[in-house]
Amino acid sequence: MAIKNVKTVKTAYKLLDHHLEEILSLSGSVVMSSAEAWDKYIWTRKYFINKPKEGYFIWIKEQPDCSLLSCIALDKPGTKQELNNLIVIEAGLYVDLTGTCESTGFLSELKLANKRHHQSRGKLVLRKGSSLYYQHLHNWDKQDQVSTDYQFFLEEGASLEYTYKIETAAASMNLLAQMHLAKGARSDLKILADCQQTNINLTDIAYLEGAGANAISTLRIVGRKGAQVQARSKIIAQAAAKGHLDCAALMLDKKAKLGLIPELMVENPDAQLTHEAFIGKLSAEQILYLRSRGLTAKEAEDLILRGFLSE
Amino acid sequence: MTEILEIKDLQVLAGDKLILKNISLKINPGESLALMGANGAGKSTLVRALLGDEDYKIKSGQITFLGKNLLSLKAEERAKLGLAFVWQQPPVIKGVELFTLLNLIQEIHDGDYDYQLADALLFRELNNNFSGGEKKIAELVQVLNQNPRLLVIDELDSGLDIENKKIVLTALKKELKKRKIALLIITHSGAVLEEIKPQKIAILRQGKVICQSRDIKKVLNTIKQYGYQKCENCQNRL
Repeated sequence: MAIKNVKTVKTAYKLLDHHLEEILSLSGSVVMSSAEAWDKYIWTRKYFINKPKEGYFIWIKEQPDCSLLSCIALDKPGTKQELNNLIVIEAGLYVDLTGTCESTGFLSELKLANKRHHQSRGKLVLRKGSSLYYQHLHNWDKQDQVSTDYQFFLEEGASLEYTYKIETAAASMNLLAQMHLAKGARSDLKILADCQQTNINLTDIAYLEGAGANAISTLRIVGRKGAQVQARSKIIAQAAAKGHLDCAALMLDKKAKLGLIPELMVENPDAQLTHEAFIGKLSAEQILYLRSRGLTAKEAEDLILRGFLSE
Repeated sequence: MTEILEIKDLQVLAGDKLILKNISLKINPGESLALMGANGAGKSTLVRALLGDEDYKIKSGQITFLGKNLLSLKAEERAKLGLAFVWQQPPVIKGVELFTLLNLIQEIHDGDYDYQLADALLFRELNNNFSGGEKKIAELVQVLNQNPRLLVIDELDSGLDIENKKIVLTALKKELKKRKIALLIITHSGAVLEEIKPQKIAILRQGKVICQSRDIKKVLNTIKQYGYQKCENCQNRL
């Protein structure tokens, strides 16, 4: 999906530990803390369930003339973030959002009790015919613990491109991403994870609830030293819809443990679901090919991995 | 004249199997040598040995390239020295565009070959669903940006239709002449040799060079009439 008429990037929300550093006043839209939204807009309570402690509420009511950025960072030892976010995009609007989640300081020398936790729940509602292009980038310290649980509700004809990229993994990470697609809605999910010294559980589920819905889930995992990754990718077709799972992992270390579990479930005879899955090592032929062009073995590996994680 | 490439008494193993048995070949600067032979003769094994593929073990012999011991060099060092390969089956590299690799190659070799490729090819995933013609064109623009002194081409015409064969051969001939690049071309096609007009031809059979000649026409006629076996009795050896 091409980014149309987007000229600038504005920080919508910036949180450091529990401190709100920045919040955007955006014409034609609402940006506020989730707790404020709970008080001000009663209808949001069906999404939040309980009054949120922290997190953001972004309600796009008119077409924004900029891309949006949300920055969540962990800094102080012992911090435990519990975010509860809600994003609502009204009918026919297009939003380009980048979310960064990261550690700003390193904890390697600190005691276990001072470990930091980032727990984030989010619901994203895409009204009829709206589009969201969402890049979610994660850079954590190797001592952090991270848990994210996102649910996307795509109304009729809505479209979602969601990339969840783990650039530097935390000690443990749990990701759950669920997409509910109504009639004619489309989702394109990419989970790209570069994993080292980490224990990761990834689960994504697409529920094809309306006729003509279409979901593609792409999973790319690189397992380096000390990586233990379990990834489940699932599509449930409840209507005459289409879906495809594409799961691949590369093992770079013989002690890494990688598991890919693609799962298709059909509850409608007119649905079409397909999947492909692969776990293997770097191709010696590809490396030799690039070395014959003058790249060193390390440069060749880096290029192949960069390509693999950008698919 | 000092050879650009000299292969002397080379023996190469693929696994435990001896494939190349004491082969010796020479290529002078700017010279073209055609290497022919039936399937399984050892042509591709020779290419792998030149590439530096570690799956192919050198049992004995020497390869000297521009006066240096090629066998002591890594694959990338060979490339930097001016040894370039047009691959017969270039691998797909997911997520990497041809344009990205071309930029890297130009940076590494200070390459300046002015390629004029359509965006549809340049910005496509490398070798993924390339037609036969696109593969060869992509290979050629890469190797010409490596500033090669010797080009090794394995089956130039495989997968090429007549129109693309003409385009590729014309571009290749022009650059070989302009840049004085030496050529080792492996082929089954007499038609390709009629276009390239190599100075020498060598025939490989069961891992041995059974004939080397400058009389290309006669060798091709012999092969056409009697097959490769007859080359063992060729009277036109160098």
